[in-house]
Amino acid sequence: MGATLVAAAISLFGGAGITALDWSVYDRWLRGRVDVADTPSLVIVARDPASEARFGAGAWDRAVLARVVAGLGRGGAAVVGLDVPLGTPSAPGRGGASSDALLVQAAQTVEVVSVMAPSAPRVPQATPGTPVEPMLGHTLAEPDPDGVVRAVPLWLKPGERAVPAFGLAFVAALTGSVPFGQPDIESRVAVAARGRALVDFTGGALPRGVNVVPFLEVWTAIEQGHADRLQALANEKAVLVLAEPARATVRTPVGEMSSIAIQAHFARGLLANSRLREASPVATAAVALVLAALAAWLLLSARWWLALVGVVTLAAGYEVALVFGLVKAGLVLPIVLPLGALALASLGALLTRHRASGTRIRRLEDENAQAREALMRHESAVEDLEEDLDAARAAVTRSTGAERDLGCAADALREQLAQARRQEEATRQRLESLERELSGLRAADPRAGAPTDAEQNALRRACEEAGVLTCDAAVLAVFRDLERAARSSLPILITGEPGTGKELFARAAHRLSARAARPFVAVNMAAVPAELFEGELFGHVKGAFTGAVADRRGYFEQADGGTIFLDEIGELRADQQSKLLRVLQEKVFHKVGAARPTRVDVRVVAASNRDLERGVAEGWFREDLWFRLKGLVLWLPPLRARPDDVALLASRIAADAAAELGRPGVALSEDAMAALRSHAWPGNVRELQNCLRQAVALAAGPLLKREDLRLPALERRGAVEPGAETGDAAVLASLRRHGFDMQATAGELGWDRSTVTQRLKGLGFRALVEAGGDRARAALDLAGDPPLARAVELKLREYHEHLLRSVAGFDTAEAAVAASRRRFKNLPERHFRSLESLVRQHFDRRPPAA
Amino acid sequence: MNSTTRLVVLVLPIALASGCATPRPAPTPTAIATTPSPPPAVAIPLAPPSSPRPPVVAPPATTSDSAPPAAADPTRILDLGRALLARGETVEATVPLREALRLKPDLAEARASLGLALYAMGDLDAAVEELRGLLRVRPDLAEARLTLAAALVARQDWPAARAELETALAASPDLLQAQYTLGVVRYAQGDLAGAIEAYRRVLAREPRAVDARYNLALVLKLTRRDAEATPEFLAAAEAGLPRAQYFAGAAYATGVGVPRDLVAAIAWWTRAAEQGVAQAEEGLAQLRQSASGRARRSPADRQAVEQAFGEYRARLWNEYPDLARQGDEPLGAALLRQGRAREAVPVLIREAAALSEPAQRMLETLYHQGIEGQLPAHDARILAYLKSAAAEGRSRPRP
Repeated sequence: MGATLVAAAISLFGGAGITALDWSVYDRWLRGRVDVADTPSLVIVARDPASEARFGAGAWDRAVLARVVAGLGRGGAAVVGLDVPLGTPSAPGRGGASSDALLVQAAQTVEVVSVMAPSAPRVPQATPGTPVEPMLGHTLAEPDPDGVVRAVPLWLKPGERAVPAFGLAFVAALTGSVPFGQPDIESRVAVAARGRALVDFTGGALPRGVNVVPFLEVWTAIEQGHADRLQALANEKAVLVLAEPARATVRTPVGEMSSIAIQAHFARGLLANSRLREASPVATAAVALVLAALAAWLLLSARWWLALVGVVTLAAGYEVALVFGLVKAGLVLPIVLPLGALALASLGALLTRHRASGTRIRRLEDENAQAREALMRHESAVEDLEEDLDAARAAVTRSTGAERDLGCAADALREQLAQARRQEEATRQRLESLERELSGLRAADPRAGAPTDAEQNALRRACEEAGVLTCDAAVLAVFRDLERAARSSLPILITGEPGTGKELFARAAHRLSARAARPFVAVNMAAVPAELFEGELFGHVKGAFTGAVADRRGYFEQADGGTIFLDEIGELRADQQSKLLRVLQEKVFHKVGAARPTRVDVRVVAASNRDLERGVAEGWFREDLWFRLKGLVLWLPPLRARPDDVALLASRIAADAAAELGRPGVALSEDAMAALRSHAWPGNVRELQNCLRQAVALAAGPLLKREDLRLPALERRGAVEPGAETGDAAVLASLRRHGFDMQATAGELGWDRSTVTQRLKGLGFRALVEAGGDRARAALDLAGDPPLARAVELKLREYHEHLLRSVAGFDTAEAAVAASRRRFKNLPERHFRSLESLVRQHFDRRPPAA
Repeated sequence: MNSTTRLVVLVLPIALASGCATPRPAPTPTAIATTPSPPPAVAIPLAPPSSPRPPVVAPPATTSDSAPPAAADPTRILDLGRALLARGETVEATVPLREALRLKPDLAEARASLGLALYAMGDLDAAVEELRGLLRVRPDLAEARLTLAAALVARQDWPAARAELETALAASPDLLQAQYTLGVVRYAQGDLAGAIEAYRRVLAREPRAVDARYNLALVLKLTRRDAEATPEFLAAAEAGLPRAQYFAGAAYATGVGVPRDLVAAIAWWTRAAEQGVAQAEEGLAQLRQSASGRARRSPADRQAVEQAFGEYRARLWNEYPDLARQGDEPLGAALLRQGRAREAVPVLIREAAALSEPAQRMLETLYHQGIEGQLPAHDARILAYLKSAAAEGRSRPRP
C-alpha cells in the first residue's frame, strides 16, 4: 500500500524523466507502426513551397482562401476545415475586411469548421456542458511534463459556449453527429481523466493514409474551372485546408509538428475509429496495488530465489500485458506506477525479511548461549551430586553408626540427582532444538558464510571427481577450503584418523593446483627405512656408497615442479625431521655423495593421524617443522561422525565390489545398513570398504544381511582407550571441536561422559594454577577461541567453587587437601598437584583463625 | 487650400468632395484583386503614389533631369522637388527637397514634401522620422500628420497610427480622410464597432464616399449584421464597386438582408464577373451547375434556378426597348440582325452564360466564322468564354 502510494507520488510528481519513461513503450510503438489503413474520407490541402512561391511566404490574402473554400464546396466537400480563424480581422495588406468578408461569404456555401481565434482564453474543460460552438475548434495541445504532446483536451470553454477540439468538431461535422451528444462523443473518443483524449499519431508532420494535395493544385483547378477535378478531390469528403504559414511547433511522439497538424492526426484517428485510450488512474492504482501486494507476499513467504523468480515474472508479465494491451486493444498502461510499486514493495519486503531474519538469528543465538550456560550449570550440579553421593557411600562404609541417617541422606541425594539429570536432559533437548532452528535459519540466510545448496551440490560434484564421496557438510567445507588454498603454494597439513581419505585430499590439492600437469609423488614416511631415508628422499650420485652404480633421483627431485605428499609425517625420527626441515626451508638439498646442492620447487602436502601439536607439546615433533607444515590444516572427521556418508559410501562400495566380482544386483538390506551406520569404524572408509568387499564376496544371496557383514556383535564405541596415551591435548582438541559439549566429546572419544568431565576438571585446575587463579585467563587458555571462553569460564567457576565448598569446613590446609583428594578421587592422578596447590592457595589467602 | 493639402489628398484613395475642389471618379480599390500581388509599398487600401494626377503647382519649364541651380532660391528648388514628386519621380524628388532644406532648414513645406516622397518611395521609417520631426515644430500641419498616419498604417503600427489620426481629428473634425483611415485602423485592431462608427461618420458628412460605404457594409457583415449590411452593399454596388456587386448578388442569392431573388443575384454577379470578380463568376458557375442538375439540389430548386436564368435573359431585353423579339431568339441575335456586332458579342456571352443554348451555339459559330466586315473570326472574348464553358462541362471545345 505504502509502496503504491510512493510510486504514485513518483509517477505524478516525478517530472519529465518519469513521464518519458511512463510513455516510452507507447511512443516507440507509435513511431514503429507501419500498417496504417487509408482514411479515404479525409483529404488535406496543404500549403507547400510551390504555393508559397505563388502567394507569398507570410499569411495569405483571405480572398484566396475564400475561393478555395467555395471551390471545395462546389466540388461537393461535406465539410471544410480551416486553420484560419473565421471572423477575425486580418491586416489590410492581406485583404483586410474585404477578404475577411469574402471568406465569411464562402463559408456560407459549405460547412466550414475553423480554428478558434488564438486570442481567445484557453481553459480546458472536462465535459462540454452546454451549449456548444459546433463550427469552431480549438487547437490547444497541452504537453505532458516531459514536453511531449500525446493527447488533446476535448473541450475548452473560452466564453459562454464550449469549444470542442478542432479534430473532433471537424469529424463531427462530417459524420453529422452535431450537436455533440455525450453518447455520440463517448462512442467515438475514449476520454481519459482530465477530459483529454489520446491522439493516434501516424507518420510524420501530416498523418499517413490520408490524401494530401498541394494547395496550388486545388487553386489551379479552381482557376481553370475544372469542376470534375474538384469533384473527384472533394466530393463527400472532409477537406482540411492548411493555409497558414508554419508557426511554432511542439514535440509529439512522432516528431515536431504544429498544433493544427496534431488536430489533423486526431481527426484521422477518429475517422479510422482508433480506440487508443489511457488506463484510468483508479484501475492503474488497483493494478499497482495488486502487483505490490503480490511481490511483498512472495518475498515474505516464499524461499528467496523462488520469490525473486516470482517478482521478475510479475514484472515481465506486466510488460507483456502492457504491450499486448497496446497492440490489440489500444489500451495504454503506465509503466512507472505499477512497476515502481512492485519494485518498492519488493525492496521493502526484502528489508523487512532481512531485518527479521537477522533479529531471529540474534535472539536464537542469545537463547542458545543461555541454554548452554544452563546446561553447564545442570551438568555441574549432576556431577557435584554424584560426587556427594560417592562421598556419602564412602561414609556409609566407614561409619556404620550413622548408617541410617546417612542412608536417608543418600536417598535424598539420589532423589536430587535424578531430578538434576532430568533437568539436564530437558535443557539438552532444548539446546538441540534451538541449534536445529538456528542452523536452518543460517542455511536460509543468504548472508551466512555456510555453503548454499547450489554451492553444496557443486562441491559434492568436485569432491566426487577427486574420488571423495560425501554429503557431509564438514567434509565439504574442508574440501572448499582445500579448493581455495590449492592454487597457492601454501603447504597443507591433513590430519584425521586412518582411512578418512587423507591421500585423496592430497591428490585433489595437487589436481586443483597449477601444478596439476607436473608429477605427484606420494611417500609414506613410516615405510621408508631409517637408513635409506636420505637416499630415498634426496637420491644419490654414482659411487656414493657401495652398490650406488648409477645416479638416482630422490622423491623430491622426482616431484620437482609438482607436489610431494609426505604421509605419516608424525612417524619421522628427530634427525629425519631436521633433514626434512632444511629442504622445506631452503628448497635445496644435497644428494648423497653430491658436492653441489640440488634445487627443487615442490609443494608439500603432509598428512598424519597423530596429533602433531601434541607432539610439539610432548617434544617428539619439532616445533619449527610443525610451523613449516601447517600452512593450511585440514581435519577430516572420522566416518562414525557422519553416518549419512556411511550409507552413501556403503551403497557405492557394495555396487563397485559386486561389479568387480561379477555379481550384479547386490543390495544392502535395511537391517545391514542400520548396522553399518551404528558401527564405530575405527578404520574408517578403509575398514568399511574391506567389510563390504568381504560381505559381497561371501554373501549367499544378492541381498546383503546383517550377518553377512560379520561385524563384531557387541562393539565398544571406545575405540580410543581413556588412558595416558590419549593425551590431555587430544581431549582438549576434541572439547574445542565440540564447543565443550561433554556428551558430544564423550561420543567422539568413545568415553563415558564423566571421564571427559574429570579430564576437563583436571585441565581446568591446572590452567587455574598456571593463570594464578585468574578464571578468565584460564578459561581463554583452555578455550583457545574467545567465543568459547565464556562457557569454559562458567564451567571453571563451577568446578572451582565446588572445590572450595568441599574444603570449607576444614581448619587446616592439610586436612582440606586430604578431604579433597578423597572427594575428587576420579581425577587423573597427574592433576592432583594442581588440586592441592589450589586448596593451599585458598587456605593461604583465607584469614587465619577464622 | 494650399498645395501641401492637395498633395496629401492626391495619394489618398477615395474621392472626398469636401476635401477636393473637384470630385474624382472612384479609383479601383487595390484590395479587389482576386489574385494576390506582392504587397504594395503602401499596404492599406490607398491608391499607389505613382498614379496621382499631375499637380498644377510646379512650373512647367523645369525638367526632371536639370540640376538645381547652384546658388538658387530655396523656394524655387522646393518647387522643382514638388514637380518631380507630382510626376511620380519620388526618388529624384528627394534630391532638390533635401537641398532646399539644407539651404533653409525651417522650410516646413519642403520637409512635409520630403516626408511624402519618402513614404511614397516605401522608406517608411525615414518618412516617419522626418514627419515626426516636422510635427514637433509645427503641430498644426494636419496634412503632414495624415501622411505620417498613412506611413504608420503602412508599417502596421496600429496604436501609433490611431493616436496620430485622433490628434488630427481633434484639431479638425472635418478631416474625412483621417476619419476613414481611422476606420481601417480600428478594424485592423479588431475594434469592429469602432470601425463602423468611423465609417458612419464619414458617410454622415459625405454620402457619396463609396469606399467608406463598402467598408461599412463589410464590417457590418463581419459582425453578422447582415440586415444592415445588405443595403449598404447595394448602394456601393449601384455606385459601381465590383466587389460590392458580388456581395449584393450573394445577398440576393442567399436571401440575407433582402428577400431571396435569384434573378437579381444573377444580374449582380454577371456585372461583377464582367469586371473580373472571380467569386462572382464562381457563384454563377454554381448556379448553372444547380440548373443542370449536377449539384445536389432538389428538383424544385433546380427548376427555380433554371427559371431565374430565363427571367434574367428576358430582362436583358429591357435595356433595348427599341428591339423587337422574334420568337425565342437571343437578344444578341437581334443585335446582330441590326449589324450591331460590337454590342452583340458581350450580350451573347451574357446570355450563353445564363444557359441560353441558342446563344451558346451562335457564339461557337461566330468564333469560327466571324462576320464579314464586322467581326473577325477567333475573337479573344468568345474564346475565353468558350474555354470556361468547356471547363464547366457545358460544351466540348472544338480545336
